[in-house]
Amino acid sequence: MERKQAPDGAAGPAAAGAGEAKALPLTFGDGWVPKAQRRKLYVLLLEDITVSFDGFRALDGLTLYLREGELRSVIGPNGAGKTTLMDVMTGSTRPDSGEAWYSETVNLLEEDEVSIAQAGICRKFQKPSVFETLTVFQNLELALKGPKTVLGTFRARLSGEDRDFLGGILELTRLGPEAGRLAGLLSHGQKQWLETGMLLSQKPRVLLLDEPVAGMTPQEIDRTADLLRSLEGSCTIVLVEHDMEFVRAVASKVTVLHQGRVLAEGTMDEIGRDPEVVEAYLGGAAC
Amino acid sequence: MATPESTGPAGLEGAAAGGGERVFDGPTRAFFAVALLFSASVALASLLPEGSALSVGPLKVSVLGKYLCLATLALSVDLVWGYMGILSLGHGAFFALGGYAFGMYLMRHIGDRGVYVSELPDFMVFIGWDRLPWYWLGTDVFAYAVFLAVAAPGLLALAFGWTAFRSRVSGVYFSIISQALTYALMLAFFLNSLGFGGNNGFTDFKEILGFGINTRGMATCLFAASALLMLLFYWCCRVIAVSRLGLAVRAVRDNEDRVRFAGYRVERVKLSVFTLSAMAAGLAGALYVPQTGIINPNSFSPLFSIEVVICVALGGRGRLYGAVIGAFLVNWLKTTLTGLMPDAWLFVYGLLFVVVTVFLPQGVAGIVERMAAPFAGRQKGGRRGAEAGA
Repeated sequence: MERKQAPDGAAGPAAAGAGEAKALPLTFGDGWVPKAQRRKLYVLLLEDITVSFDGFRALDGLTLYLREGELRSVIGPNGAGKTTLMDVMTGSTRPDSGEAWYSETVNLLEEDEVSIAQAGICRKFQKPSVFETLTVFQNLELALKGPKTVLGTFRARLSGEDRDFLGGILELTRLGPEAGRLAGLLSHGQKQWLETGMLLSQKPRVLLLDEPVAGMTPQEIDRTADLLRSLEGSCTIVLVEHDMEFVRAVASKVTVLHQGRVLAEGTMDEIGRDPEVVEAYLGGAAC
Repeated sequence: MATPESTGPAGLEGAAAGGGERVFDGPTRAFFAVALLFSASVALASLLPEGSALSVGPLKVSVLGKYLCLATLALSVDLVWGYMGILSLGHGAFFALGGYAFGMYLMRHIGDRGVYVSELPDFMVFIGWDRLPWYWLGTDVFAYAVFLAVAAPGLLALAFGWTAFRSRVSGVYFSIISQALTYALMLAFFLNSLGFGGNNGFTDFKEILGFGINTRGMATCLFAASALLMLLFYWCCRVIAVSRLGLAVRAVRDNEDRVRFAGYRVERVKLSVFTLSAMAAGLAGALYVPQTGIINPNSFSPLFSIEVVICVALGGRGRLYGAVIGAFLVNWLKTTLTGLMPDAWLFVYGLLFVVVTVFLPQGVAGIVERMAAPFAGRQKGGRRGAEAGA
């Protein structure tokens, strides 16, 4: 069973050594670096992000670094700030303070949702949101990376290459036989997959997945885990998930959020041994 | 193992874009065949000598021409409502603006044949103006008047849409402010001092391009132009609908936020389609006015705009041909009923609305489609077979 697999072996090219789980977030991975250089090292860099809603601090000085090609799971109890974190990364929520940089030059706090999406940070929502009155193939075509202006979209035609690419995504998401069906007619699990397929169609550099296996059958969950593992290395993936088994199965590094802060970072086993994490979240029972 | 070529409509031979939809698909071809046949036969019949059995009188031709203009207006509403999901209850305003723009040309060409025997339009003499206001300049040039009939509604839609879409006004709120827009314009056009004839509007037109307006030939020409405009705009809508832009437009209807996260500037998509739709409505209005012989501020009334929406709903939205069927059906009913029992029309109108909403959510086109389903099913079966063979 993959769940027993050592996480380090399966990690991507940018894997950090084990045993640094307790290190401070600032030095996670490769020691302290001057501020000006940090942005070069990470595809996504969030420092000291604070977001408050009517006095409630959804994120409280959160700092998070992601390397190119990494697969990172973000877990935490309800209200820990996981979805807010995603909102900050996609430009839907503006933090009160802090810094957020993507691929060295893009200041996420100055761009809007559309430019961030065009720049390659693509997000899958908790509730599967596909375009129900379009066919599966049309959903993928719409999401395809390419011209996004009004005139450009009007003139856009699918090249043979595009078709092959979309065909590949259909195969990967096992939606090939459904390509001509309306997306509204798909099962819940298939919709989740289609949305993941749409993200891939955008050729993302960073993939944000908000509970991609919610409501899936165990079989579908296993397949999704396979899918994510196959993507590892080709793009950076941030996975927000409640399902611990699934997080274990994709064998990623884990960041634990609690009350808007990073509580711990490391492999699933390491954070499972962390008394603070056990206290705050796992309650000693989940592992 | 599935190859990319066999994975759905995109693999179909001859598929253009937009996930394999074609501009001239089955229903569109059927619609064009019927519409062309209808327009050609009416135009021909109107040219037959009066009194012959098949001849259609100029009055009848004008009525049919007006239906065609209203059908174009219904198409423009269907494009924004049926495809993009934005219910505009003020599209009549764009139609009326186009009408007024061309009406200015018609007024200028009355010349000194008016009651006051002045080069100025009668109403201006009546309110004591001694020269044309600046915005009337150049309106005696046909091409400029036609340009104005497109540009004025287009600019209004651009300004209105930009304000509304940028502040993310949508749903019922958009419908309400669009209605407020047309109502405000109606009140403005009632003012004599605005220089558009106050509550009498424009009427008593004499000629277009030097040809008398009340001749049989002119009736036929205007009818033919209306048919051409309707077909042209229909084709235009189809081209957009099957393009990737069309996918984005339909996706906006389904889930606007998700479209944003796919990297599209939703406001710009909405604004361009809305503006295009308003420009088509303006042209339709410009052709409507000479066939009616009058335009007054009542064409800005919210009721008129709602009537167009009912046409689209009755015909079946999101299909284009549904809008045309609806426009013909509702306006034919209106013409017939207001002739028989003028007071009954509003009741029938309300009843229609209830019946469509409760029993016919897909409109008349939904019934047509269900009847045509056995034939279409056979075609699709054939296609599926072809796919399996690929």
